[in-house]
Amino acid sequence: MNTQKITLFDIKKNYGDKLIITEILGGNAMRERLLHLGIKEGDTISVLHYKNDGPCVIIKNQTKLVIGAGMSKKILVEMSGDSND
Amino acid sequence: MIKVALVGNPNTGKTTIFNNILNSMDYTANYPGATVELKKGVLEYKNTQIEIVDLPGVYSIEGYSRDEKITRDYLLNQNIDVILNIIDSTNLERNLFLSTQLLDLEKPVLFILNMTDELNEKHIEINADKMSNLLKAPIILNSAINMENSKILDEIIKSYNKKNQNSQHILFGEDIEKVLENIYSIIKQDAEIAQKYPKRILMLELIKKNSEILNSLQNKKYFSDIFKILDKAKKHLEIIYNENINFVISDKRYGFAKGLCSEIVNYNYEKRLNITEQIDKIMLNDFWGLPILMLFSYLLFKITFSISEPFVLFIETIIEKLALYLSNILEHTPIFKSLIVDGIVAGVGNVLVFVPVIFFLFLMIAILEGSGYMTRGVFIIDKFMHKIGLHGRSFIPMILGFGCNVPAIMSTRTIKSTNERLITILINPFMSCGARIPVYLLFINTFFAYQYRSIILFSIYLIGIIIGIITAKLLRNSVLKDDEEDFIMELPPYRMIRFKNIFLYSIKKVQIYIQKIGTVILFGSIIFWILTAFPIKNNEIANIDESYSAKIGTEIVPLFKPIGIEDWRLPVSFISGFVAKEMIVSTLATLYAVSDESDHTTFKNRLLEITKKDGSNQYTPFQVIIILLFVLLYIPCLGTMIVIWKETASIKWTLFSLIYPLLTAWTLCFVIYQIRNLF
Repeated sequence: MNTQKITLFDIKKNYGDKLIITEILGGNAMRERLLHLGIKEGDTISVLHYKNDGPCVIIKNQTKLVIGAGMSKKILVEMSGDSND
Repeated sequence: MIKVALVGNPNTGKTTIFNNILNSMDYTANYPGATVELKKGVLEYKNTQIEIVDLPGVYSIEGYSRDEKITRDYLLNQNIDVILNIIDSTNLERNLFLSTQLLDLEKPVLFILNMTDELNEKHIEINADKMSNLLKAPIILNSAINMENSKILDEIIKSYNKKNQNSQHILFGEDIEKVLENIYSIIKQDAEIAQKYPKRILMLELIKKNSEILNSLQNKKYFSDIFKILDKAKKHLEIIYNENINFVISDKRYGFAKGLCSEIVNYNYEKRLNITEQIDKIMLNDFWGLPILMLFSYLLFKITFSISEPFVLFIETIIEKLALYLSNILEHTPIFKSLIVDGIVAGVGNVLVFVPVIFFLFLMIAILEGSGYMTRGVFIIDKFMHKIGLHGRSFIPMILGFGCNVPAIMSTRTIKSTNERLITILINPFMSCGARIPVYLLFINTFFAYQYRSIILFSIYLIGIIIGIITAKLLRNSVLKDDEEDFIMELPPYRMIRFKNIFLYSIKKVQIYIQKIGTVILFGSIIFWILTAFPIKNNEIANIDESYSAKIGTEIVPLFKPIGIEDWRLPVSFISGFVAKEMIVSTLATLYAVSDESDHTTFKNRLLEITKKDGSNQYTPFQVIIILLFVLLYIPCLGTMIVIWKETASIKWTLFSLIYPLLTAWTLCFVIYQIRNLF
């Protein structure tokens, strides 16, 4: 298992690979805003689409979110131990 | 009267429920931030008057963005009797977060689990009875296919009559609860404040140091005491939790939502990709995404103008015949004939012709919105928008601006960053709205051969977009520097377009358009006819060159000489265009109809044959291009100015939105005209 910390922005993942959010940088306001949309540290998410140097689309449970580059640079993730189906 | 507020996350089908209950014809848009105005409706049910307000879709009522603030202020300050919380049942956990906040408002809350038809498809089971017991509140299952209107209305009345039913609160744990009690024991001595806000909201906001509430306490004797206590309490709790207190409270709410879901929801996850994901694999593809977006934009444009063409021609013929018929029967009363034929039929008729274009334009925009594709556009275009200092989020107001700038500017409320929102507002008038279409089509169809028309029209739109982009870039690099918006947005699933809904929506837009023609344009046409026909001498209308219009026009036309506009009629029509852009066409039609002594019935023929004093044609295709560019850019209409003023709350920026486009339009036309003169 790869435990190296990398941002959601930098990680280039295959469709549906599972990631765990390890840390959300960028202050309480941003953490709270993400929480209102159902995203917080410890959550498992998958990246569905991303644009190089641009936004990405993630999914958690039933919610799909477009996250801009400014924000995804502040979200630290690691690969989940589970292999994807 | 029972006052009811509809509250829920974006994309939960609030507006559909609102419309269905009120039998209104509005449609729902499938993206966050569509409900930008507060839509209200009153109905009578079982001898009770019920007022329903559709509040903007929000994820929380903390008040981070403008629409959250609108919802929050409404819920706190208007005396609402019942809250209807619309919940997307396929996404219960996230939706319940907002519900936990609503429960703190100390009002009866009625939960509507919506979109239950999608539950089966997604293999989700919800135990609604258990949910109702745990939340101590009524729950109604609803879906677009199975609307439970009367059940909802019955429950509203029931909840209203029970009034003080003690609904469930979320407890935040002993440490926090104790602090909340302490604060309340002090604050409750001030009856004014204690009654103004719901108890738990008041305490929670105080502990979070909500500046709005703290400011209202500023003049109280006990302010410094309570401030010290709050400060201490906050620090104390942050030591216990090792975390910001706002976050702790939100987290507890989520904990509750999650716990509740684990009790009542049974997920049987589907492993295969659903339809939305399959479509998105193509739509959001790195390679195909942008070309598809461009194709759709082109189709939006192409279908709007080609499908509407035969309808436009048809109405044009009818109006021509009408004008001819009226001229004949009114022959013996020349002044009255002039008012009817030159003033009203010319002024109103030449705008009425373009109603079909407006219909198809709104239909196409509604399809983009309703299907959920608009939000995909946000993702695809985001990277490009970054280059001009904006985010993908500004894409939606820009597209809506092609319909009408007023709702487009209001839809910027979901943008959190102040500067980014301001820029998105200020560039919106450069997105060519539907009201400008009559001007373009009139001139383009008159002066250009068929094969050039599309490309010229398309270029006009494109130039508007480019000027918008340049403006955004200039503002970003000067006064409205980056204030870093953390851009995040929900991607709704694709939904089947309900053609009935969008058809009715477009009809409604057309009704509004026709209303505008019947009021503003009609009134304006009469005013401009009077200005043109008067002073009346010897029972004859004025010689056009001595009319009031001519006097106004000749005064200002020197300002337009440097951009090649010499006919005084054009500046007069530009002034009238400030009221509504369609007025440009009706004013010109009236001005030319009055001055035309030959018996042309169509405005187009008149335009083609008008000559200058030296006998050369008044309008050349080159001059038409200048006119079109000027009309595209020169000024937002009055309605747009008012909404800019309201939304920016700044006289400075409202003036900017007036002066900057004027200077831009003039300068661009000046440069083009002067360059052309060199050769």
